[in-house]
Amino acid sequence: MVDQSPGPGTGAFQAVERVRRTPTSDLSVAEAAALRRVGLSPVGFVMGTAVMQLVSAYAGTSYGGMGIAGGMGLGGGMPWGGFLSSARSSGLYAESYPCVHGYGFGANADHYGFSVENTALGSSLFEGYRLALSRLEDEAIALGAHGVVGVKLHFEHMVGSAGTATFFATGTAVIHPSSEPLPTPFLTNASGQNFERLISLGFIAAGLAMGIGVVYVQPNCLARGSLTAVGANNQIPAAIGAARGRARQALAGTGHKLGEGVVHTEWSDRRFVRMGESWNQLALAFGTAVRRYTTEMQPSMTRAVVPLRP
Amino acid sequence: MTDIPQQQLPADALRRLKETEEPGGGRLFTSDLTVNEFLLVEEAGFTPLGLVMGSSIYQIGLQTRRWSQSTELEKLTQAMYTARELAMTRMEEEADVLQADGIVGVRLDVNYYEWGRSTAEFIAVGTAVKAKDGSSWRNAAGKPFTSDLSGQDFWTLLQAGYAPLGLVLGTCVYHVAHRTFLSTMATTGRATELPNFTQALYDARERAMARMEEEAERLQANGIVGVQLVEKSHMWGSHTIEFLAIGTGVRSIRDDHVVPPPVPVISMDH
Amino acid sequence: MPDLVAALEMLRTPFHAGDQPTFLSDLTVGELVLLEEVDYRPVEIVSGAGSASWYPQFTTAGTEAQMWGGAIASAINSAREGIRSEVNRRGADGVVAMRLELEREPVNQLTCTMLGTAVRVEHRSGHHSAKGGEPFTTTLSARDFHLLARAGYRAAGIVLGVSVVGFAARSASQSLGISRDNVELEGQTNALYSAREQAMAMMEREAASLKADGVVAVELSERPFNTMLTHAVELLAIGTAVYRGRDGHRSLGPQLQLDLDDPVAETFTSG
Repeated sequence: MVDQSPGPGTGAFQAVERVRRTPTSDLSVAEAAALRRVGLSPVGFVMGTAVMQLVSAYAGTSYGGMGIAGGMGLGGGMPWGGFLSSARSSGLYAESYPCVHGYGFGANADHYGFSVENTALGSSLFEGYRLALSRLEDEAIALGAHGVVGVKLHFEHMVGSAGTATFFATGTAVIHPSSEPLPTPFLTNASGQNFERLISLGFIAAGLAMGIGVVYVQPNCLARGSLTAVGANNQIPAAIGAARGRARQALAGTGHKLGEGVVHTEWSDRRFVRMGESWNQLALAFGTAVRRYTTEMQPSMTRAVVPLRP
Repeated sequence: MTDIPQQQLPADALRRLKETEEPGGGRLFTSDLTVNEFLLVEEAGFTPLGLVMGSSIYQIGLQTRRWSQSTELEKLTQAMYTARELAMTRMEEEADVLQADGIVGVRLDVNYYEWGRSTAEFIAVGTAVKAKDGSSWRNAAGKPFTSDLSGQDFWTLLQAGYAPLGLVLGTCVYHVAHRTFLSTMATTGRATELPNFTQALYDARERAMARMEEEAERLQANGIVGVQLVEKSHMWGSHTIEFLAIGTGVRSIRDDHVVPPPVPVISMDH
Repeated sequence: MPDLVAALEMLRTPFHAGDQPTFLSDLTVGELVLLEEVDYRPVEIVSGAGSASWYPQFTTAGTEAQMWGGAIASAINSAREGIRSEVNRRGADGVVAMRLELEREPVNQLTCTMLGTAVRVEHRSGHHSAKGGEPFTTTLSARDFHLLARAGYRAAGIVLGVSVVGFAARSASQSLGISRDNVELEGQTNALYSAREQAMAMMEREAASLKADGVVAVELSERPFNTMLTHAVELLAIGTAVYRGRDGHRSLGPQLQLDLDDPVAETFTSG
């Protein structure tokens, strides 16, 4: 085999050196045992990190700022009609929510609202995770691994530096000793035990699928929960639906390139990067793309037990 | 202790319980049992009838206490007991309307809403059940059995040859004396037992447990399972503590209490 | 037989995406196994959301309470309608292990979101039975769903009841003098008791309209809400309605298990 060791100074080189000195693993005994039962051995703990400047198209604040940026009086008589309709024509989600009291635009800043997809922020996040994952993959390749199990992704806002975030990807590289290396190692967020179950279902993990959706929401008087207008609002559910829809679409898109389906998807939604009454509605999903390697499976039926508690 | 007179259930309660009757004698059952518990209750030969509850918003009167005396505060004990009994009796009456054999998974909660000092809501919630084979499981007092056992423990208890009779509880509200300044000074810096306090806590616990056992005797129980001892200051400050002993009185339903030997397993899943 | 070598070989050949849509699932692999064992397969991740607000103060308890309760019910119902229509669009039978979240921000606004995996029944023979009735939406975990199916039950969906009871602050404290006596406060007891029963009754009525046989895993949650003028308690009852199988309960034959496992010890504990 040609020596493909990475050179000094790269993160992957450091990982290889670390593992050659002392094989490490964050697997519990039970998880390592599950992997060995299917024929995989843990090689070492691998990691990838990236620090990103998060960019948001709507880092500004009030609708007043938007009005000036968007051009006055275009599109439906609203000062921001301009940028909303151009977002829509690019295929992005955009909706305006006028005041339910019918007040004129003038001084009634808190009454007008809009929701628009914030692709700049979505892309920053996607890029951060993608970089962290590709570095994790590099470490696995340098170790000659067939795959990485138990992949965890998380990110933290950097303290003291507004708009900067650190992305982490971690996992355990595994190898099937008697097989040749793969062109790219498989990545999965499933644990060792769940990987074993996946194999027994007739599937192999092909890679990680990921989808992110972000919608910037500036709520109108009804959606703001103000006491001047109460009742059911459509702005919030629609924004949540749009962010989730975009994440789901991207998840299916990345998954479609790798396998027949995506399982074990970890999903989170939250209100992110708040500014006054506005926020970014974020939906984030990542899961394991799977390919079927056999249609013959052992029929099983789980046993029901009642534990005797101490 | 005191007898609670026949309770009038609120009209809304009666209406809800009647509404679940179906033509043809069936009933829409409701339960806050988890799915596991529900299935095990069915496995044990019972069917759930409905969620039953009772509550009482009770004002606990003031009782003066001597600062330097460790003693039971009988008025507060009475209050805690009566409030809980009111809640439980109403819950049992709801079960009666459903013609239940017993109530499982009983939860006794105390809620403090910010309505006023010394006022709390005492709630009893459980699932009323009926034996599928029509046998009677009512206890010596002719009332449906009550039990705070989970569905799992209920099934296991029956496997072992016992049946629940009723929730038994004993309570004691105790004031633990404050120490005088001089005696505090005398022991500063020394690791020493404080025998008065130790004795006070023993005393309080023993009273609570003895009262619980008395209730079990009245039900003619063979034993008490699942005993918990709960100590809480509620809203009285740290020197006044309620000791609550609670368990389920049981009776033997067969002579042998042999259970098929359990299978030792190790969970591989963490 | 599970065969890692064959599986790894498959990965050496690049994947060719066909016309079949990629199935999506937020279920873990363990949950997939449990559903597969009772003949359900994942189709797609589906979602629904609803949001509504109300006036939080009480001047005359009747109408304000209804508006508050009505807003909560409308938020949850919109979310449910939304997720059901997504399930229908995918031709699936229902949603299992649905996540139901209630966000209350600001305090007089409720946003309900639902997310789960839509599933379809597919018997081992490959036969897909005809869909009947409304898609079920259930927050039951895959494991609960599996146990119910094995015991012969079918999930109908989540059912809900809500009621709000208010006490104008003055009357509450008026009746609380500083008294030496232990006494039950009848007015308040009855009001709160009734509110609970109403929430339960509303939930049961919904289950009855689905012609369900019962409701399991009921969660009764109570949220107090206090201002200078108002003391209120919001009561929410949510459970899963189920249908009993024609043959009644099918025994699962559970075995007693003695766990030899100790909980994993923390290496680093505080202090």
